[in-house]
Amino acid sequence: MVPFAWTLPNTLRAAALALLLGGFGVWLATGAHLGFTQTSLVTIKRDEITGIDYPERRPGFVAGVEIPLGTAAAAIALALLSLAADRRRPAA
Amino acid sequence: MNTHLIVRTSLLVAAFGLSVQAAPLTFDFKDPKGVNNVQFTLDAPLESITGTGTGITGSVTFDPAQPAATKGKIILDTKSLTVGNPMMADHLRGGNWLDVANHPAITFEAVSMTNVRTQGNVVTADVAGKLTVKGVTKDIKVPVSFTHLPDKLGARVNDPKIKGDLLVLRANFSINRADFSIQAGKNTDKVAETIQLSLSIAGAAPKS
Repeated sequence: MVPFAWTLPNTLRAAALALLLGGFGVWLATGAHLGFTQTSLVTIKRDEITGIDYPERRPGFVAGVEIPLGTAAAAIALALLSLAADRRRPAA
Repeated sequence: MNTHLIVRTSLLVAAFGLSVQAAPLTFDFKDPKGVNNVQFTLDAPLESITGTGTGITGSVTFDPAQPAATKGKIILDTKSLTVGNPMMADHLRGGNWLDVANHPAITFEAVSMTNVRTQGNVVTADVAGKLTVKGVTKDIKVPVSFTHLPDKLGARVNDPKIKGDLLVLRANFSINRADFSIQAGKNTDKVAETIQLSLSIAGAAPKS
């Protein structure tokens, strides 16, 4: 087994993997929301006297699909860069 | 003689009381509890865009004995409109969509009522009026329910010393954004033309 070395291509691949896992991890951890990212969350409450249902908005974070898709795209770009860096590296 | 005077005075007082009871009440819709709200929904490919607006003011004159004579105007502060996604919220308030800097209010002014039905303290009717959005005024007809809650103001503000009535208005209707020059004919693949609106508001008429 070849030991891992912190060469430029390997560092780029590690960064790509970290981005990919991080993006999907955040998305899954905040509920795997299939819409866009939300930075405020709504809870519907009822006013006792009037019977009005009203939304109470509070700060919160739910990652949308653009987070894993964006990090996946960045990870692919880094992986391609790592391949290019591999080719430019002089043969040992 | 004295008995006659007492009877006449009593009748006058009773008549005055009845006339006060039957007088139309003006309800102020500025809500100190922040409960009054309008919710809007637009269909979109990925998910429906749902938002809220809470900056509601205005007044409605309502007579429980003559609900068909109801008149009033409701105003929504467009800066209070928001959605959960900050970029969408910026677009919503921006010049291409609602242009809140130049059009700070959405208003609805009731002109007349038809199909008025009363069941207990609830009146339902089709309210015809003028809706102004982004500077464009259109005549629309909206089904509205009015729930009159006599002597409930004190309970609502947690102060039994305050006397007065409440009037709760509920309406669900839809408008076409193209009718109000909101990206007319544009971005129809991203956001539906139809905006569904749900209004739930309460007004107060204090009694001295």
